Amino acid sequence: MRLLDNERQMDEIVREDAMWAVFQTDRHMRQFHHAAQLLVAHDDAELLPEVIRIYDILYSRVVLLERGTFLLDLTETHGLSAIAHQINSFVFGLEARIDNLDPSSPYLSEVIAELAGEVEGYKSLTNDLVLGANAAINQMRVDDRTARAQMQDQLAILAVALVFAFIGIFALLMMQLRRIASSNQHMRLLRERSRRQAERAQAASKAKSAFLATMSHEIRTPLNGIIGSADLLALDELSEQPARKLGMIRASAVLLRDLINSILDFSSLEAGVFDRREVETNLQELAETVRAAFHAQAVERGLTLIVDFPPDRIMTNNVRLSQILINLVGNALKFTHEGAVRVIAKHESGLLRVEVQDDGIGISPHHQQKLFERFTQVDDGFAREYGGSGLGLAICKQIVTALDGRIGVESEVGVGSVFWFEIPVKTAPSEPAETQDVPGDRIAIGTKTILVVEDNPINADVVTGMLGHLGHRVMRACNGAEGVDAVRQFKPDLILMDMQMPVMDGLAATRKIRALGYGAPIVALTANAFAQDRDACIAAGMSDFLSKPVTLNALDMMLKRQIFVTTEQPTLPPDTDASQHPADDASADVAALPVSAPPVPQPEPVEEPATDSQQMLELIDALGHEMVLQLVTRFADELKDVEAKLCHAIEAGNEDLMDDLLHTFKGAALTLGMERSGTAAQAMRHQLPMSGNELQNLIALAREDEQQARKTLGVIEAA
Amino acid sequence: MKTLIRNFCALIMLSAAFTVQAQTNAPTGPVILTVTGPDGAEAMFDLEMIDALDQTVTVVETPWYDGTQEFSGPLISELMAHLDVSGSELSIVAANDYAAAMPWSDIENYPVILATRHNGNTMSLRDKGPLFVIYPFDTYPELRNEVVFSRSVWQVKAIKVSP
Repeated sequence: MRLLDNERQMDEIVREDAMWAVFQTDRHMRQFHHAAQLLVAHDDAELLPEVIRIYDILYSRVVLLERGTFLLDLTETHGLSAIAHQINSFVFGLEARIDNLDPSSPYLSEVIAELAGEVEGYKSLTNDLVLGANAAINQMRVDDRTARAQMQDQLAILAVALVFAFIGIFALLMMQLRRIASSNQHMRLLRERSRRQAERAQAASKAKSAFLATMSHEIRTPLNGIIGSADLLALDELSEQPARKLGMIRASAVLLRDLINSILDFSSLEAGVFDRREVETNLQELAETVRAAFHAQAVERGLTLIVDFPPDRIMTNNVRLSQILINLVGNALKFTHEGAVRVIAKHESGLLRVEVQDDGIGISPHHQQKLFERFTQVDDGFAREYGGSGLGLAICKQIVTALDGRIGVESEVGVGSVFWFEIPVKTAPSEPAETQDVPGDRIAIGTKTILVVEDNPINADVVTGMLGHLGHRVMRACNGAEGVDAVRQFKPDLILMDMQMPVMDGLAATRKIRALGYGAPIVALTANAFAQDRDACIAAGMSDFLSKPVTLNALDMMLKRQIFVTTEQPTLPPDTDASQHPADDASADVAALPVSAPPVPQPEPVEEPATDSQQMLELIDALGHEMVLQLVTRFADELKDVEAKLCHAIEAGNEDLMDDLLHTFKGAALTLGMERSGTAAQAMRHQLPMSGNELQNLIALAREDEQQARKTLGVIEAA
Repeated sequence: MKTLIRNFCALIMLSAAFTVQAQTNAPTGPVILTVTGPDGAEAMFDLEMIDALDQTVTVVETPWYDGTQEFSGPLISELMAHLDVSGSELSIVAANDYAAAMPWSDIENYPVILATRHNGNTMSLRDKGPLFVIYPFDTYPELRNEVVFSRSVWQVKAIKVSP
């Protein structure tokens, strides 16, 4: 390519040079002729070298002539080349004669004259060559110009095409831009829509959480009352029939509590809240737990319970593992009428497989598929016959999945079922260290001073009663701030702290108390079963939790555990003296209540009116008739005030104020067992804003409740 | 006329200010090249004197011959250095009185030779001799243009250096 370019370039240069060569040839031819004529005219042999020199120059020139003119020669006749060739032949033909010239020859002049004559003829030929070459160059210039014009035309066409192409590209780009813009707009709309949807979903999720928290608190609190009261009542000597009824009340309450627990449990599992702590677990001990838990039930139902676990020690989440086992074994016992239930565990290569086999009624394949879905029971009739929430297996599945395991069932109707699950476990690293002896019933901890910080008077009464029964001294504070003041003054041995309280909640109070340097245990009284709530308790400096409703046994175990563990006496910095806080003392409704005997009054044989509130009866039990009457009267007096304030809030359209007022009202009403108006107020809180009509209804309902309460009080009084 | 010129030349050669002559032996053979310095001083060369300078060989393709040809002779810069002459421009004069101006930078930037041999043979007047200015067209493609070709003078007989 490069070579070809070089050659072409060279040709072009030669052609350009050709005109010059032609002119030079013509010139040298004329010079030659002139020199020859000069010699002849002067007849001077000394001019001969000049003639030869010019010939030599002419010779050197014509060598290039033919090649140059060939390139100039554009016509088909090759006229120029022919002339050049002729000139060439002539000049080369002279070579021998020139070389043979003898300056001393007497005929030199004649020879040169003859030569000049010949050159004369070729002089016109070189002239023709000049003219021809000039014409050829002109023609080439014209051709060149034409070609250039053509090229310019082509270029113009190309340029126009290029412009059109650019316009096309530009148009396409604009279209694309517009499309991008519109799709961006569309995306923005979609994003906005999905953002709103996400907000709605979050709001729904928040509402669900709030509902669960409320459920937890609102249901567990009265349950606490029921179970606690039942426990206290059972301490008294009762005749057979009331004792049986009491047992039924307690059993129902416990069942209800378990149901709520399992719903909360499932919700927390579904919310992804899962405590992953693994602890060392002895499978034999676990087997013993299962055996102990279900022995009575099996014997009662005439079933054989076989628990066969290998003697291995593993690392696992033992709480969750027990939960699965209790669910599955409980189910197996429930659905087996005769035969045996076998619980068999195998531990191989990091996998724990447990099978729960029964000789029960079995499950058809169709039902097996839906078995692990929540709120599913094999048959609606089953719920009536066997009870249960339908959540047990769903919880099991959630737990097993969370533990990276599998769960399944194999069953044949009328033959029995095998529920199995597999979870990955780690083998415990070493033999366990000497386990610390857990304090049992035998350990006496003596009389301790215990501070109960609880805003709900019923719960406070119940816990106070239980603690008194266990032989401890009790102080009470009805919110976190008062609790902190009480700690400053009385340095209790242990604090029972409610979580949700007005003025200052349990977490804030705990942090403050710990900041004072108080080192003795602080135990949370919480209805919140979520693991993150418990973590928050620990983070705030609490030592333990006591789940509401509180039972006597749980309370006793907790006290022994905490008092036993804590050897450190509660200490306070010396500057936190009571005299330094006179203002606080005035506001603190704190009283040390030394309790020497259970404060539970003797149950009175009362004919229960159907509409009498259980809460009211408990209140009368706990606080005495007179006190309750005072409270009801105060409630009736305050009702007018609440009505006026709510009326004002409705006019102002202030939903926050409505919510606050309704909340206060609800608290007061429920405390006094006025369930209808209390529940109605709570319902209105979820449908704000409320109307004037609703307010009238609420007040009317409250009046009815008040009348009912007075009636109950009157009945009791009459009795 | 001729004697007058010869006397004039002798006069110049004898001049004490004639630096070129001081460094150059007198030619013994036919003079083929006359170099005129910027001060007007002249130096004459025969083939033998030119051959005595360092020789450079250039193999090159030119518009005047088909295919690559080998040329050899001294670098013009070498010749100028030998004469201790410098200037801004060289005027190369041919036997037919053709002359071309060559910028001094050409001989500084490129190995331009004054060829005495073509394919190892001396060149007669008919063969574009005796001296031929040869640029290294193949090594420096930028030299391949009409302006430089016009400086590549053949049948060289004299070089005049402009101050």
